[in-house]
Amino acid sequence: MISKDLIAASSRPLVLSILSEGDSYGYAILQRVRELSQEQIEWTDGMLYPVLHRLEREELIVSEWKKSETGRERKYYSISKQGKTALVAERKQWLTVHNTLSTIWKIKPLSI
Amino acid sequence: MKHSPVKVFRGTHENISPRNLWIGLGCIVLPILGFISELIENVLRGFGPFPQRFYPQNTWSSVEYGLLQATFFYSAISLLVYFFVGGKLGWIVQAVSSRHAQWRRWLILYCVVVGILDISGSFNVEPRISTRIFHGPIIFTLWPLLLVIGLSKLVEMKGSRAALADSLWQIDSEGQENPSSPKAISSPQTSPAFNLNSELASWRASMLRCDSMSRDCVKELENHVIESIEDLKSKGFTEEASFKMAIRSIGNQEKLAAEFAIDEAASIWKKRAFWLGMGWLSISILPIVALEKFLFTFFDGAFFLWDHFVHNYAPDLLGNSQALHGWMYTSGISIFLCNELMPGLFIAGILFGKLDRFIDWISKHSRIFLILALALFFAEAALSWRAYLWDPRVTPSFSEWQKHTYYLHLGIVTMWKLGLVLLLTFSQMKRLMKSETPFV
Repeated sequence: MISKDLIAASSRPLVLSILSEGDSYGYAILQRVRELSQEQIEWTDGMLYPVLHRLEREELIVSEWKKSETGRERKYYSISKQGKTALVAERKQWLTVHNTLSTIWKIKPLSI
Repeated sequence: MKHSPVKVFRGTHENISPRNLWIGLGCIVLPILGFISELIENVLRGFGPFPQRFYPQNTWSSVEYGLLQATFFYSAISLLVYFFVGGKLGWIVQAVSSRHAQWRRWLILYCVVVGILDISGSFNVEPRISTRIFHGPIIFTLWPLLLVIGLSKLVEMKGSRAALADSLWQIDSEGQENPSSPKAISSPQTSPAFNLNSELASWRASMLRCDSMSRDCVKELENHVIESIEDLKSKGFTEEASFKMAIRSIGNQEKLAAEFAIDEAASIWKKRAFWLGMGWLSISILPIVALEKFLFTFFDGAFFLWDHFVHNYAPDLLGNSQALHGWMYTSGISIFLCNELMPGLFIAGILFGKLDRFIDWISKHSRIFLILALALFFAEAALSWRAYLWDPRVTPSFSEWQKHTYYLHLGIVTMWKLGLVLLLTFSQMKRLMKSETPFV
């Protein structure tokens, strides 16, 4: 079980990474997180939205209401240029932490 | 245990909209400020080493006169304390909302009776009727109540329009059911007792009552819930079970609202300040409109202050030994404080986010406020009674009818205040008997 603090801290790079794969909406982002983490990371669904809104306010992502293939309106999010830059910085930080721990635990480090 | 200010105000009535809540608060702000400034001014007049030059036409002492005026302000503060302690401030707002039409009728009746009594009393005892009316319960209870009644009606009408818009949204331009609408979700497994649309509507309404949730936010969350329901239904769950699971997984409403509030704080406070300001303006504007004294009342504070400065204070400063008398002729100051400066400071306080702390502080010291209210009431009642006994304005030239009307007016006002204090006391006793902890 991953701690709440770690889940909260990872929400930002996770959302940015998923959106770097392509535009998406809240429900699909959650499903993707579940899929990628093999259901190890469990978010309270509603808590994703404050994160998305925060990222939008920081202009790291942009949103737009669009009609989906089913005809339902959905709010789609896409990563902005600043968001891509922020993601690179996030990636570097997380890999630094990962490599530090890997060295201690004698696991092969990843290239940053 | 810490209670959020909004919770304290809402009491047990969770279905009060944030807008009504803040309008209600706004309506009470000015009476409190008026009470404080009026009391300070008149106590200074009475106890200060200054001659009585303020109301030469009558023989009342300034302190007693001031306290009589403060009676009306105090009525408002009693209300506030009562609703604070009882945790039922929202009740007064809810009482006039569309859900309680019968309460609205009673309040209108109350307003009419108090208005008639006040005006009839004013005609008998006060040569300056406009002053009497401005300082009477009309300003401090009648007009705010009428405003809340009017606004609740507007909100109701707006609600009807929103419902109409919702129903239109569910049908697209070609007359086909919009798949994004909650109505579009149907399942053969739906039990007769369960209605997904109404459940969704009530969930949506409860989310919208959190003032950190915008319509856009709620729409997005609702879409999420709908997606989740469809997903669960495709996995074989019933509609009812899917709904319950989807709502549970979207998370606790309070926590969600708190999370949104972190980022929306500025806009939430802007909205609150706006509605608070509307409430406050209402008790300034409505009497003005009613009495057709727009310019006079809007600028009276500044006007009086300037007038007294030019005619009293400035000449005094230039060599008159009674310089302070000019300054102490404080009608202008009091009105200025009440109408312009204090509300300005108050709104500035809200904008800088200090109101929450103030409300928290009052909540924490509710017992002190209760004791203070009771002490003020009895002190004021004793002084008022003494003043009534030798009121020079109830002269032998008054007809019997005029005297009766005057005393009826005084009696009603006194009974009303006494009733409030009794309610206040009983609400505390009831709480203690139930071993409930008053909010601390």
